[in-house]
Amino acid sequence: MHEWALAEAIIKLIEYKALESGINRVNYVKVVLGELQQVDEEILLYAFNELLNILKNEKNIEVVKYQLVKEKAEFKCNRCNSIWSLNTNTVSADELEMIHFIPEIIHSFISCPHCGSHDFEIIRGRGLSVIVYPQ
Amino acid sequence: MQQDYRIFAIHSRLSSLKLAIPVISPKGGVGKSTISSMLSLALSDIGIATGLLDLDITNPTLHTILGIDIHSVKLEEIKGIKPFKLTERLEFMSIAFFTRDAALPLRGSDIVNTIRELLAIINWNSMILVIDTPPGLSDEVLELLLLLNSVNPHITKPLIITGQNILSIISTKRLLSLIRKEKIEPLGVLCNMCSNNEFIRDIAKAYSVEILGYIPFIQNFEETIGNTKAILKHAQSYLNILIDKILNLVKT
Ligand SMILES: Nc1ncnc2c1ncn2[C@@H]1O[C@H](COP(=O)(O)OP(=O)(O)OP(=O)(O)O)[C@@H](O)[C@H]1O
Ligand SMILES: [Mg+2]
Ligand SMILES: [Zn+2]
Repeated sequence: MHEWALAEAIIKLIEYKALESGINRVNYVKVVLGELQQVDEEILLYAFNELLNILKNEKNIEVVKYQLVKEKAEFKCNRCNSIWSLNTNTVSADELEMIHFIPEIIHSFISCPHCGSHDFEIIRGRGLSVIVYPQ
Repeated sequence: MQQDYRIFAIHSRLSSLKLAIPVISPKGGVGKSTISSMLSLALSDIGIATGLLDLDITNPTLHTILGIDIHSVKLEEIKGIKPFKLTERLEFMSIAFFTRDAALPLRGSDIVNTIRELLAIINWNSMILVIDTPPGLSDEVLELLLLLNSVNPHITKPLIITGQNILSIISTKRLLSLIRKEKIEPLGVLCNMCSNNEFIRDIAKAYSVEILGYIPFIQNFEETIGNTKAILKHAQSYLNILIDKILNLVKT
């Protein structure tokens, strides 16, 4: 698992945004957890909170509010336009682990349930994404 | 780009590099993958901690050239993903470890995501990173140059590979004229499957890039595939100018 590394990068983003806006109270941070990346929410939250404390104590940067939102994965076929969601029965545990590291890898392992095409988009629930609202 | 948290992870993953060498060519099949392998084997053989990354996302081939059985490798997780250790001083990473060598059909934005994710989690321990790329000014090459430039523009020195045929030379000129408009300092040009240096003397002069030697067409070269000893031997015969230049760059 690489949740600590993820949390560290999020903290650096928050710090960057705070410095960029010249503030030390960041109003709101939204963290979206997409299904494909299977980030361990508990570990991430723990690491995030620890690092938030350090950020406050060492750099005097504070986050007023943050929120973690989970998102189910959804795919759209570029060939036939059908939309479907993840069926974990069609991918092996080994494949799921690889998708955890790099969600795009799923293009090797699944295809459109209607037309068989591998040319599809991950329209939701890809992985971790972070939006910082400084004010 | 600065809204993407992965950029910060990539910065810390690559910050200890002294030199990043994207191996690029506008034309396909001129020997980028072969030369990336040769170069990284030779550098690690003389004691330099070297990383080799296959960034030909939709068609990786380095693991085949290096004789690595993808299916028998279990990636190790220590603060991210440890690259596969080919020798004491050579670390290797490829998307093929993740796809189990299955085809990976991706469009542009997916390629960008894949590269950012990959570079954000790989835990390199090297001083020099050699990066094999697909031909042309592809998404892979553009994204790589973008990321490396944001980490540290001074460590990025692309190695340009050309053949001696007219189409390859014309394509290389076009690439060099583009590079010269940007603030990218190439390592130099290397002519592969060339009978001498004359083919690149003019372009080297016109675009003031260094000639890093040439590799002749080697009969039965395919027999070296999967045999790192044989590949290293060729590197020792043909890459001396290139390696000396690299050694001078990282010496300080
Ligand atoms: N000096 C050489 N002598 C003989 N054969 C060579 C030489 N260099 C490369 N080759 C062969 O030429 C072919 C193309 O080489 P390689 O795959 O390294 O090119 P590439 O630039 O990476 O191709 P692509 O653009 O598809 O990624 C391979 O079969 C390789 O073994
Ligand atoms: Mg290649
Ligand atoms: Zn379809």
